[in-house]
Amino acid sequence: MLDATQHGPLLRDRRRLFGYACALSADMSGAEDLYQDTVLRAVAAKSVPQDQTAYRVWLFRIMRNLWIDRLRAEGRLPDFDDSTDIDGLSGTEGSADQMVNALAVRLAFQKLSKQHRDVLAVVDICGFSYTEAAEMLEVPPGTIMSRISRARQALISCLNEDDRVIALPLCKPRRGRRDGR
Amino acid sequence: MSAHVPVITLHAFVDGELPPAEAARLAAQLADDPVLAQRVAHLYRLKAALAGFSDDIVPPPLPTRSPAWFSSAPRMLGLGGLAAAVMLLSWPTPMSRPAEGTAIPSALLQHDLWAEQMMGDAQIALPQEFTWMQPAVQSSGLQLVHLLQSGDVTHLGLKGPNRCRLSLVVTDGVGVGVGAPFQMRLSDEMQHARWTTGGRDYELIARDMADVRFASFATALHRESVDRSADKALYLAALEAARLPCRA
Repeated sequence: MLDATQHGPLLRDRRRLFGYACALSADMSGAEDLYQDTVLRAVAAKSVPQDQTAYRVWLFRIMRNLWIDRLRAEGRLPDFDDSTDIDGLSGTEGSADQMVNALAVRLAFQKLSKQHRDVLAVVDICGFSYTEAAEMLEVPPGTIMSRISRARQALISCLNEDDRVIALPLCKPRRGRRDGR
Repeated sequence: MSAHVPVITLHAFVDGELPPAEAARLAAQLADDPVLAQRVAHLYRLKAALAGFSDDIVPPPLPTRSPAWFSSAPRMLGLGGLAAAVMLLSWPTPMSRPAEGTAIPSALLQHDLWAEQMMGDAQIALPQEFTWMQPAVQSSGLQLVHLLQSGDVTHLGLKGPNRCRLSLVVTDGVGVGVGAPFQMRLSDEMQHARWTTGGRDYELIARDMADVRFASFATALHRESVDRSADKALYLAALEAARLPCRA
């Protein structure tokens, strides 16, 4: 049962909660279903964490568990592979005079694997610390650290592969340059 | 050439997750290494692009199919004015009390969301399918200022004098044969009425309306939703008599 104290965090976090749903889901319809089911589940809970941080973790974890349940039911549950050598990943971050186009980043984000979207959404979209993310995903904080690193490197690779969406120059191209990057 | 800093360390730095001493060392290194500083700046921009994701999307209305009912103890309906209003309306309304000990209706969340954001202040016309409400709305001194339709759910936000706000959440497709009795609950925290008729589920919610006024309006609306040909004169008079100011 929700009282006024818990009602507030649910309302305050609704945008991020829906953002997380959008990050996890393949389409808007799926995101809306996930969001609404999560709210219903939270509202119907008989006991909820009193601490505000714990409440947030609890609320977002409900959504993640619902998402995993759905994937499992569809036989599409991803494997969370933590074995890649992080230092073996590419360290290129794109051209320095290139503005990061938010739309391009979000398009690239949608192309990432489910596990990469999951961890990036928890930290960057939902704003959880590594410790909170670790609690939510039930892994050690060090695993969050490595997953974030892999996911962001995958995002960078995805952006670098698609010149059509990232090429918004930070400055006007200088004369003599053949492109704006 | 940049000194080697593990990629994982750069990401943790951008996330503010490095221990203070290590973060300070890396910050000093960035000051002397423009190439490394550019890489970090790029990571910051990526993070910012994703962090703004939630700001640019509008969540759908909160679900209205409530799992249960609000649990706060209702005030008994024996209030003199309320009883008089309900009697005056003399509608053969079977009233039942909702189940005890369960949760808040999600339509209340929707109402609070709207009221909190103070969305919509200008009067808008009732949609065609809700024009039957017009006499009751007008006689109550209310105005429609918010309309949100999403799938089967329509949220009508009504504003009264003194900024009081009342929500009607209508859900279509509950089955024409399904009929739930008129239920009303008045507590210190909210006023709530609910009924189902003609394949539609109606939930009426307010926070600060005078009980008599809420009860009069809810009863009138229920009556009209069930029988739109009924004589309106009596209940319109009752509604006008019950135009009490909001408690807020």
